[in-house]
Amino acid sequence: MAVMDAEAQVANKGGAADSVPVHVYEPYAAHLPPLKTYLRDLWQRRRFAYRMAHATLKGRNYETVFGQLWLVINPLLLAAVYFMLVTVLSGSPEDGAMKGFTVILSGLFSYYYTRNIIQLSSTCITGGGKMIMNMAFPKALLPLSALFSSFMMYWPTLVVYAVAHFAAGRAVGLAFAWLVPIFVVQTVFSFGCGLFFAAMAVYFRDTASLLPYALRIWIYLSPVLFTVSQAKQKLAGNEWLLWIFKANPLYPIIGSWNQVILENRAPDGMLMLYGSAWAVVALLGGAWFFLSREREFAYRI
Amino acid sequence: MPTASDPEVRAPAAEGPPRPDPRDQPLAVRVDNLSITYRTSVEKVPTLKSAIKRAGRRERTIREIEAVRDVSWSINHGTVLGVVGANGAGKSTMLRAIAGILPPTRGRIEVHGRVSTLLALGVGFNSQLTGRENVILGGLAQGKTEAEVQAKYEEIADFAELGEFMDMPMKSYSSGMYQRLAFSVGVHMDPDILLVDEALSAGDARFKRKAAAKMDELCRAARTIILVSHGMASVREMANHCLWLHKGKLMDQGDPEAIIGEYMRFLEVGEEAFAMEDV
Repeated sequence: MAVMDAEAQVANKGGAADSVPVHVYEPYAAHLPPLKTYLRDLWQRRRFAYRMAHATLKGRNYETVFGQLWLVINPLLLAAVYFMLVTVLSGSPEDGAMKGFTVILSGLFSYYYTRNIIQLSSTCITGGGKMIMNMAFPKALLPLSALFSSFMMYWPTLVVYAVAHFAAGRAVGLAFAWLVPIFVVQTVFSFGCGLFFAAMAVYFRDTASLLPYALRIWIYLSPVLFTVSQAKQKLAGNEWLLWIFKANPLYPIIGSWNQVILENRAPDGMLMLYGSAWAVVALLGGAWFFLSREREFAYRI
Repeated sequence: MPTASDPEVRAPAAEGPPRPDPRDQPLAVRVDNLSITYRTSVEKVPTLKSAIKRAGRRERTIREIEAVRDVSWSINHGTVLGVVGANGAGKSTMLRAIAGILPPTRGRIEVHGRVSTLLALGVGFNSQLTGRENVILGGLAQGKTEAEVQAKYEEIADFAELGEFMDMPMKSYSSGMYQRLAFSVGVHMDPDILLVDEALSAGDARFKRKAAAKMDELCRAARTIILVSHGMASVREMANHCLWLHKGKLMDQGDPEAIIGEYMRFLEVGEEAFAMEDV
């Protein structure tokens, strides 16, 4: 078993025919492990994160009648609930029910990708006790596995969306190439948040209970049930609310996603820049917090 | 653990090459002045609410438990090290530190070779998943490639003798089946150093015998085994070096027979006896 640690100085015995790994463990302070070794160990075990994600989803729907079909049923039901909510609250959409439905689907599925990454990550360390107590491995594998699980839940919803998109008679153009960088920005941002909340939950178990509510509020603050331009219209004059709305990291991320999908155009440059900045901040902050603390996890759970 | 008093479990008569003399082998593990202090929260489950309350009262939230105190020892490859001691002696904590799971608070640990752990119930990340999936996940988590794990899979499944249960969710396993699989995974990962923590208590007599034979085979191949056990007979039978820990301190080390004798006397007369003498 390849063992890793912050202080592990992996060296090979000079000249030995079959190299014997040597590990040295010394006391640590709350600082980052040697990143090169850490990332190499993480990369070496990437298949684990993938298989674990696959297995987790399989285990989840193991005993249900519909099984893996739930990956499609779930988002459809969810979209139906929110569509009804919006229709009840603000009447039927101006440009037809189907178009209104795609507005909600696009934002909702995108939002749920981020939400799932954060939600699954928040329990991956506190729920991984047995593994953490019995094996030495880079702990970031567990949030990484949560990321993969979320992606596996995300892509079927994109297929569902594509069907609705064409059914609503919406256009597809070259601008759709922008979806790739926006997706990358969103993934990096969400993973950073996932790392942060995974470590946070070790120190404050209440995180797991508070998070679902915070995430629910987040959906209403994000351009999910409405578009960026609709929000700007409605909030015009209310500087304070508009500021909160714009300070939300999902505002540039889901906002630019919706601009491409719903308006078939390149996203605003400012939104892209703003979203990327959030992604970098989240990843650096989340990774620093998680990596500098992870050697303590085994003591804490 | 296999016991010498159980004739079924007795290690098989020496076959193949004899165990190599550890004195001629290179260093396997060196532990220098190792201390491990747990800093645990006062309440069982740390919550934000209690943290705020305590912050208001400016109370300390952390209590320190010295699980291992200034322990030093070293062994060469080919050693079967038995670690004995009462509950709470710090045996399992020390083993986890050698595996790299718990970082030392003070001191230094040097480990030469690949380590495989057989701690508590080793495998089983997800009891919803089948034995097969858990075995593959376990191998991948240890940094092996998918091809390497697949190559080992048949051997692991054969040794564990679980038959069609390998493709059933592990929640349907008995505790003995669980341990058979855990043991099989642990010994088939080509470890240079195998860490075993009371891992065989639930297997049936036949499997214990098979497990003892497998461990003996590893010893002959100059592998190193560190065995934490309350079963004195298994330590006496398998180990060629012994450590005795008590409340985190290293009481003595040396020949298993002598150390176990000393430990048993200590258990019989107990700590109170030393105090009684003063009365």
